[in-house]
Amino acid sequence: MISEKVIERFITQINPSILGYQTICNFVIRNDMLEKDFLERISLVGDIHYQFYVMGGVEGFVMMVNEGSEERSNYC
Amino acid sequence: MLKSLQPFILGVTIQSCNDHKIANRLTITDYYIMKQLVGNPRMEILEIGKNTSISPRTARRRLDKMIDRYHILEFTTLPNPHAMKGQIVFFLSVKVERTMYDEVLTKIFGQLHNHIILSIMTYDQEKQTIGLNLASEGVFKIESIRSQIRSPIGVKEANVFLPTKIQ
Repeated sequence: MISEKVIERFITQINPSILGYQTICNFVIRNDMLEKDFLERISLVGDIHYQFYVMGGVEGFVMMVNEGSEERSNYC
Repeated sequence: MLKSLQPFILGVTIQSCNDHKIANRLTITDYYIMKQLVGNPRMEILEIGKNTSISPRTARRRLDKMIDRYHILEFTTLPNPHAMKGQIVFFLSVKVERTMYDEVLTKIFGQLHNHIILSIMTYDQEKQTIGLNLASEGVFKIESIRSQIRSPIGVKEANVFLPTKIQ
């Protein structure tokens, strides 16, 4: 499966709270109307853990948010 | 932020991380071990020990503690949906009753023993969501798996997503 690229890569997942993150937000959104710079703006609020694209113009991402980011989120 | 996103949102879940007490129990060596494993999730104990200047036995002990006792480390794979020829890769998001999380998880493993499980994400501190990356030969089989997973007591929702790319 590795040589056939079925498994793209192996991943180590770390509990975000031990890295100082306080909130995990999972979003499923329609991406066909989304502004291109959206992900850049959203990175002001937190770090995108991973992102996935789904059939039908749908996109999802998991974002980890630090303490104090709530205020910055008002500007997004 | 949510306001500006509202017209596009199909679903959102917000979980709080409340395991900060565990962070106080970790040492700098634990973080070094994690850093090694983020760089190479398949790194051998011997190499971890060598790179962090500890014995392999200590590396093993600390790793066991982080995985089995504190549940802060998990290992998984990232599948490539395009490379699965003859198989459809799909993601199954299962929402469960918090009090029945472990019981539902065991049941799911039992129900899926004949299917291809690419990865499983049990990593939810709130114990409300189980994520499964599966592969199946056809769309009708996918729906059959979904309804099978949906049926046990303790399962609130089971939703299927067909990913085209994960990054």
